[in-house]
Amino acid sequence: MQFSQHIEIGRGSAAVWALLEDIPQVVQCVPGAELLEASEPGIYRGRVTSRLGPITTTFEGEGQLETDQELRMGTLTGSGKDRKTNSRARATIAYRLVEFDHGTRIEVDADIHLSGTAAQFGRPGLVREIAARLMQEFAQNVEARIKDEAEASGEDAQNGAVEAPQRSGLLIASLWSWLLGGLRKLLSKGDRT
Amino acid sequence: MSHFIGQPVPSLTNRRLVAGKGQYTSDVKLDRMAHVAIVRSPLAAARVKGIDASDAEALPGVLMVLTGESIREHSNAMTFNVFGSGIDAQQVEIYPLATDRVRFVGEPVAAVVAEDPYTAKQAALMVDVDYEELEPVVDALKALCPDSALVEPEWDSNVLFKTRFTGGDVDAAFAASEHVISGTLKHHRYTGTPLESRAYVADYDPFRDTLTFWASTQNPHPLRAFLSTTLGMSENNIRVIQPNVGGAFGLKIPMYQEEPLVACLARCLGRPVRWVAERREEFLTGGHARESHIDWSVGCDASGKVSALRARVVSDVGAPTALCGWGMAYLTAFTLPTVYRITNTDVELFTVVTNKCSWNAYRGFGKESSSFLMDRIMDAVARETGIDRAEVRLRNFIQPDEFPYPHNSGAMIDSGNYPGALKKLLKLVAYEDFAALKAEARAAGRYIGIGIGQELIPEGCALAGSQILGAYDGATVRVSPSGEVTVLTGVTSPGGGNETAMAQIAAEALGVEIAHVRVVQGDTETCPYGLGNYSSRGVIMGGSAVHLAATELREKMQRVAARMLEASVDDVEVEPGRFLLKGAPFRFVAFKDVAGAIYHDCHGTAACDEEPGLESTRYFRHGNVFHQPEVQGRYNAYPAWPNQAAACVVEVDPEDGMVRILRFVSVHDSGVVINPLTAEANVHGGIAQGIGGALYENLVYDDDGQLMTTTFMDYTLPTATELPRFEVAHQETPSPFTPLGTKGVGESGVACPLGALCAAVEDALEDFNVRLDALPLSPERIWSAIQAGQESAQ
Repeated sequence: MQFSQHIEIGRGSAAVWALLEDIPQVVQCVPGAELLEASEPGIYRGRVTSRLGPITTTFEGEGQLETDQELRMGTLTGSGKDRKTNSRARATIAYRLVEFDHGTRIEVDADIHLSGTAAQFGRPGLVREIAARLMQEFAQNVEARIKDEAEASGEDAQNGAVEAPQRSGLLIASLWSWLLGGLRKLLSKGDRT
Repeated sequence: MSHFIGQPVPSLTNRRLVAGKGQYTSDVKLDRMAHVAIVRSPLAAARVKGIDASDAEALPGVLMVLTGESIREHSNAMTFNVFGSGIDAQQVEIYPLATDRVRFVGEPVAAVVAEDPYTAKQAALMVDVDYEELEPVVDALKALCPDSALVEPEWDSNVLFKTRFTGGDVDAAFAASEHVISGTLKHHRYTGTPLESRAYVADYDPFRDTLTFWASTQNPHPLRAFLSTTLGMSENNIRVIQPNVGGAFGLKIPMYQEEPLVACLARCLGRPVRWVAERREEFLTGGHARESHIDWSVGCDASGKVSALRARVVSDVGAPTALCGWGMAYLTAFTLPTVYRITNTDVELFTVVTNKCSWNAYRGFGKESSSFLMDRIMDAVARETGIDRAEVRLRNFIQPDEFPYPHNSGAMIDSGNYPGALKKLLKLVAYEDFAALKAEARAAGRYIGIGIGQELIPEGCALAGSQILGAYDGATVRVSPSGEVTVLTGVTSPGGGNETAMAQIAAEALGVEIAHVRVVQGDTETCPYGLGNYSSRGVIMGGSAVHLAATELREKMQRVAARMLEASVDDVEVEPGRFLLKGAPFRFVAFKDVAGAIYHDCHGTAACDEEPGLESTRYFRHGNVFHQPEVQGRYNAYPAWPNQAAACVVEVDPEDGMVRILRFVSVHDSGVVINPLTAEANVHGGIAQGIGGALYENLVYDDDGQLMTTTFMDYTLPTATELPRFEVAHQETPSPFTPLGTKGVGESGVACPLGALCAAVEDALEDFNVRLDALPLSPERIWSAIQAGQESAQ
């Protein structure tokens, strides 16, 4: 499943890039994500918990990040599995930063391959919607974090940690948006494509 | 005079099943029974690099974990080609668990046995399988390209088998045609959904080396043979019992990987084990069907008479399998051009494997696709020539006096009266008045349309050398000393009611009331060898065998009755419960007294010339099968050819593309009908499944080979609210090849809705120039067709 999305952050690209280079901070900005290990440079082990329709998945796996400082772009490739649902995920997420009048736009091209239970329950429309919501939350978190860093002193950094994302709210919002978008489809039997 | 044949006898199992007293495989409870959960591949194509089952094995309550790595120690490869010499296909070794590669999402890679089903399931999730992903093949047309990845790396292509049926002079016929019409038809992937999912219970006795296997299967004896080969056990040490079956539709024909797997686990453990499929497992692995792409062209003259047909069928049969489903593609090609007299034909078939769920037999068995194609072709001819759709069909039918009729494929159609059925249908549906009705509705702002479907659903499949597909079956009929009758058949019932027909046939032939007949089916230990149920063979083969065996006993009893009445045997008549003297209705002997004389007085005057006992086992072999092409000039795998004409009236909302069926009328001809009640019920079920396929049901895979429709939320079935009242009439054109003239009714009805619905929707949306060449007719497809139709009109 491929999709492109972008988020806008009301901060300059230098600040955004600096944060994106700090992987532990980035992970903290992703709702449901946890960094488990970062032993080699550019290679990270992590875990992402999210709800996909009726199931909760916890994908654990490894990702590799390659960045280009000069062009302010990067590619994260990773794969993980969720043993609780016998699911697998493989993703390539390319992003680049574009500065504009009011801040920075992060443009993301994602290629996600879900398999097993997650694929069977996670319809493409729902997955895209959840991804969009996750990115919006991510943008808000990044923005808040940079703001905190800029405005507060070093000892306040702890306070700058974004609040734990409210995943249930996220899920409901995603589902609602997806339902509205696909209402006609849902009502019409036989329409599955 | 018939007392029981042709009577609407309510199914003998009704009371028990409706009361919830049926016993299905999952109701079998045995002492120390353990439970199986299966670890399935989440990937469509991958190499299995390693399996770590240590966590699962350590879970309390887990008895064993069997993985693909060690399956060869416990099992032989499964029988791959069940078609014998009938179909020459590429070969592959299939084991009960994937050994080094997985070939579709859901393929079993390991199995866990535990004390309870919940522990088994939990442990299955703890088995860690290391996969190396391979490029999946998910599109049959792309799979034919030379640069495609291969489903089976040892093969030179993804073609499992190909064949070509030709006859006449196709090029010349096309050249001489006034009109040449071409098109494409896409039939999508869908399947049957038996309410009862697959279930197996296996009990192995290590001291006797015997296996008892309860299975929701259609074919106990063939399953026993397959288990014997796969497990390396003596066939007569295996007993297969088929309890009640809650629907099968072909999908319970062996052999699934789970069948030998469950047996294997019981043998390893020395304890009874049980496995019941979850619905999601059924969608993933329980057999799919239909998905085909057909390119066609026909040549016809100005009168609508078709002289030539070319078709290229590409069927996406999913992963190679030990199941027989891929043979359905053969039938699509074999049955063309169905009910029509088209003598110049060239039909090419490519059966292509992909990394999707394997096909298994599904009601229709490929014959629905050929009928669907011919319906679309006849409608196209009508449009091209400006002749009415029904008239075009009438002009192209094989005529009633042309039977037995040979097609170029080898098919030999036994009998039929297609114009008779269609004319009867047109009258029933008031076809001539429809134009006025349509105009009236249109004036009121409603869009209604009518379409015709014409199906030919041959039955009684028989392939030379096949261990499962044969045009014969056996029955044992026993009369007890008290005159009670037991009928044991080699055919089985999938829940459709053939046991009632068996009782009617036995009662008729013997001269007893149905209440005195008990029918026993589905146990290899008690029933005569037989091939079970598929291809509507219950009544054709099993019913004929019952007739032969019962008739033999009745003749014996009639001779004894004649001695008892001191009359000539020719003067003895049979009525239910007694033998009586012609012209002297008060001189009779009771049926039970004749039985008593044979058993208790075998040295007495009445019975001394007869062999004691009243038991007969007879086998019926159908005469309309050709398995010696070098001598007979043709290979015909199908002996019985029921058919149906149907009309469908729909209303379509052009705003949202929704279809509502207003009427569905059919005239059905399956030869002599033994029980109109159960026959009609079968036709109803077939039509409902046809409508489901045409409008609602769709198995959708994504580009990675992941099935997206694994619940009834996503895979929508028609329910009573979507279906109209079916109006079914019968026409009886007897088969000349069966003793009772029967043809089989189990698959009837499933094909007509496909073409009829397409045509009805096109007719309703005539103003929008809509053309439909793919299913399902989802609102989105219809809406898109309206847009496309309007664009092309501009």
